[in-house]
Amino acid sequence: MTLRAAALAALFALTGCTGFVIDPPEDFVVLEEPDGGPFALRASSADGVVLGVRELPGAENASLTFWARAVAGRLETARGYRRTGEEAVRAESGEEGRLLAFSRSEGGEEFTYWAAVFPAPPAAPLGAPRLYLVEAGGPKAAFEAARPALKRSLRSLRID
Amino acid sequence: MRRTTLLIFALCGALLGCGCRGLDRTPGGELCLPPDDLALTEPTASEAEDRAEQAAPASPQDSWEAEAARGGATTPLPASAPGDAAAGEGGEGSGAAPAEVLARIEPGRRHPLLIYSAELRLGVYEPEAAAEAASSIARGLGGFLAYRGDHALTLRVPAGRFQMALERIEDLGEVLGRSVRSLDVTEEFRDLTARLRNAEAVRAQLVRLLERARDVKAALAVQAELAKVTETIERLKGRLRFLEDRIAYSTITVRFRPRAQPPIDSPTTFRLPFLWLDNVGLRTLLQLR
Repeated sequence: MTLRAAALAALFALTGCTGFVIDPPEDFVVLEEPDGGPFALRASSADGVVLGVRELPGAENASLTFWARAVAGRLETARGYRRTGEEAVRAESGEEGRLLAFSRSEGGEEFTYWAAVFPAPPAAPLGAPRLYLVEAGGPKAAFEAARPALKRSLRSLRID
Repeated sequence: MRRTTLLIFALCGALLGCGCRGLDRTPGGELCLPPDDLALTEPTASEAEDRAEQAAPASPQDSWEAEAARGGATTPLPASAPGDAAAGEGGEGSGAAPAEVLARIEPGRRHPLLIYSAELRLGVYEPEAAAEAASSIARGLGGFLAYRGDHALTLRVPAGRFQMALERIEDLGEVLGRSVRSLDVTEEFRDLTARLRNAEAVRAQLVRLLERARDVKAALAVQAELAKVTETIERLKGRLRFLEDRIAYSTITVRFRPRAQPPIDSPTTFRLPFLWLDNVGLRTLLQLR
């Protein structure tokens, strides 16, 4: 890592600035995230559906397909998630992403989980996040009710 | 009255004497009719014929009975051989001809008539989801869900898609056990169709006798036998319908065994050098405190 990259990374970390904007569903509340936590933003509905965005260092040369396979493989082989769908999505700022849908039962209850990966644009400054991971999950029934709004939120992502 | 009884015996004997290769000879004894299904157990065809001869008319007014008895003992018999019965020739009555029945099951192919069944034991992470997926596969192939219990279900699929269904269902998890069975019911099917055809011929004769009965006692006697023959016919038809269904739709029983979730740090799990991948998923996302 060059001195400049290290300085930019430190700047991002210290200022707590996020390199994105997203519009959570209207009936969700944006939660306060602890410093150093895995999420740059999380928002929750009253009935337990959560939307989260992570800014990740990733790897400079990794493609969208690589990240989609890495996430899906990890969830399916190591966690017992069952993939129920996959589709291309586009952020409002133009980045191409991939939405992976999963189901998972826990304690007899069915849950739905989405993970959408958006590689940062090639022109992103050094030290800036290389990957944005937008997640959504919750009990299946509640998730289904929020599904259209979550889809809209996903597409509202704007990467700076 | 005694003659009428003898005539009825003769008719019933004809019914029993033909096409009776015995259901207990079919392969896979489990599909045999229980003994009580054979409501009429005697006499044999030759005995019945003898009795019919003995019951020959002694006076002109009795001639209809003997005529019927002779006819009853001989007319239904051409179909007595199971092999002939399967060819669907001759015979009378309202039931479906064997050839029609065979053709309805599998047009253009008569032999052999097989009932396919399979049992699968699958290890899956999510039994409920896997059961739903298996049902969906069966429906997609033109089948249906016959039973669903805790971690187990029984599916019926068209026989022609049995293998395809098995392969697709096996893809839902790790196959822990698998057994496939085919049961040849050709002989039983032929026996039943022959019996049915002959029983219907006997019934037709009894109906004619009933129409010509001159006194109440004779009519009642014929009617009682008619009821027995009708019951036999219904049983035979029921059994044939059952076999038709089993042949046309194969049965797949699937038992799901829940698999333990592999631990995150399992040494057997391939891990990319991106630590955040270990925390992706519902557990971290839904951890709000």
